[in-house]
Amino acid sequence: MTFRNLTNLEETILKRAFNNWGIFEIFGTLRILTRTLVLNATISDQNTNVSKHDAIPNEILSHNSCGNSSSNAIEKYNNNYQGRFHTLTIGYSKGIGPSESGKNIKRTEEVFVHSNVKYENMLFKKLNPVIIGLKIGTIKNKKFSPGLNFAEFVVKHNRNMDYPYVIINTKAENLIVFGRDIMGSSILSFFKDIKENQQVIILNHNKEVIGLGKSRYSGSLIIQPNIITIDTTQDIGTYYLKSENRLSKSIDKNIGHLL
Amino acid sequence: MEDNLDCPVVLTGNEHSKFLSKRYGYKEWMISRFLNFIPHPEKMLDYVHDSKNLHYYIRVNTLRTNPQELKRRLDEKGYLLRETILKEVFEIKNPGFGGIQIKDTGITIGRQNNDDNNDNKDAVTTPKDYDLQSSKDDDLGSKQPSIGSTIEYLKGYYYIQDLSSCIAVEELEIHAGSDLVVLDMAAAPGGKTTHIAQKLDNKGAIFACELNSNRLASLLFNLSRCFVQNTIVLNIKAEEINELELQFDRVLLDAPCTCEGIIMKDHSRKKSRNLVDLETCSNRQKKMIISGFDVLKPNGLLIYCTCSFAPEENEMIIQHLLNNHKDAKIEPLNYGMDGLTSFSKYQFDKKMVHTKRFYPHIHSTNGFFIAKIRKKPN
Repeated sequence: MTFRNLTNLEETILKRAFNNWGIFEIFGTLRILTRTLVLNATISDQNTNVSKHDAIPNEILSHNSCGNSSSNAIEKYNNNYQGRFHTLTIGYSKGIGPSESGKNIKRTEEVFVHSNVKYENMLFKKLNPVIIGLKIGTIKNKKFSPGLNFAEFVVKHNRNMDYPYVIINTKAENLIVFGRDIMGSSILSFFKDIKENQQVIILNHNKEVIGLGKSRYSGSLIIQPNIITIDTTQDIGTYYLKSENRLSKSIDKNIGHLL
Repeated sequence: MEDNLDCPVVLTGNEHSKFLSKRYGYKEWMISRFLNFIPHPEKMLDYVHDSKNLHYYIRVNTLRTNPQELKRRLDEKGYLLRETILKEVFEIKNPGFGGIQIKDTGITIGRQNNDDNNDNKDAVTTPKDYDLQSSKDDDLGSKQPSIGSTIEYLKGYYYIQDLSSCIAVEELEIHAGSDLVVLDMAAAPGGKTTHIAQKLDNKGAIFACELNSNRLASLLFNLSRCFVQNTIVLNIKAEEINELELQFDRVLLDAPCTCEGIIMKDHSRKKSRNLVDLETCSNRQKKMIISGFDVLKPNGLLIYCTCSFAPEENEMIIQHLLNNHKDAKIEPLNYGMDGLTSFSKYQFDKKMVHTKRFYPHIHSTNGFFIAKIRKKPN
């Protein structure tokens, strides 16, 4: 799918998200583009363990016209996953437009920030780029799911730190980059209004983004010792390793969590 | 010089070249060529043979931090950083357990994503400096965690990259925050692309071409890690860039090559390349440089570089451009040794002396070649 400007609905969703994270003022300063992350099939094959959220990586699909190696990657993908999806074919995905909807199809839109406003959508259609700028998250079911790069914007621009966060100690920091969850005793400080099951930004003692997580508890219960109080959902370690390995494996089942 | 160059140039060996090829494990045709155009060739073979001579460099990503702050943090972690001729590049004296990567011996996290012909080079000298390998005697930190596995690396605060690669970007004459449109014709894994982005301060635009889909992942990874926002990544043949009808202020062609210059880091290249590879690379490089020059704006700059010693991949390519484009002009560079003005039976343009070569045993870098070409204004 090609890159395009935001629809009105997407713009509203993103403005709300930027506002919720306390960085509404930078929304107008960014050029934001979206691209449909192929398809998510809501019907999964019961004979396989493929989840309904699996998707073909866009980097494979969107470049089938360029270079033999891309075509090979698609073929490889098709061979590996033939029959698993009821709705997932390359031709079909190419035919889906941004406004189309279906009962058994749910789209995920990838959201990108690009710093140059000179280039028009027409050029992007012509170039068929792999990536434009920096991916900051995804929109799915009318909800924006921030990625680590979005968290970087939040930390940089929301100086008052009035967003859900936890600051963890160095030992936990080194574990989290290998995907570990957070014990209450590892938390040095936290956002006081943190709610249960809320997305939080995980920071190290230098207040740098290390990951994103979900809180299991609210308020000060988050620092209960000896139990996991934050589930790590994305971290800078596995996040990069998955990115690195994505194309070589042809598919990454966790692509929704990447970038 | 006539354009119909015999490529590759085959040079006859002798007993001495046979002896050296056996001693150091190279193919003889390589040695017989090295003896003809590399200064102090035996010294180089000796130098390259000893892995203790490897140098490691990091480039600070100024989009995310500044050199002083990063130096302080890495100092605290026990890494010894030495300044180089570029303020954003440090030499790491103790890169950590197992070094960064030597291809024969395995891969660590950081290097896995910087697996580039031109990455991880060493100190470069001014023309008069012949040895910048200060404190080679330091036997430091063999148990230090790899420099490619720190939090700072994962945060994109630095890129593991050789100094000579950084010099190639430095010579693009990109002033901080300028609104230039730059083409990177062979972008993966993104070392030079991210360097250009930081030079532009995420302004302007970079069109990064990479044909090989398998290498795209590392490019995307590094762009994201370094927080680069001004890049448009294209999965196309760089030779066909002119079909897109775009024009660029700057073009960087870090051409795919036989990589003779990184034998120190990948010993398999002593024997894995043959003369056909050299010819294939040379032919492709000729097409690429013509395409790159075609899309350059008048008064724009093109930097051509390879990590090869072979004149067929370096001076001959530049000569090919000069023969085909009268509006191409070689400009002088600040670092390295002068390019060759002749090779075998060929005489090159006298300004070829302005191109620069880097040698491991002289500059403590990978073998590298840089040429700076300006397109004359209309």
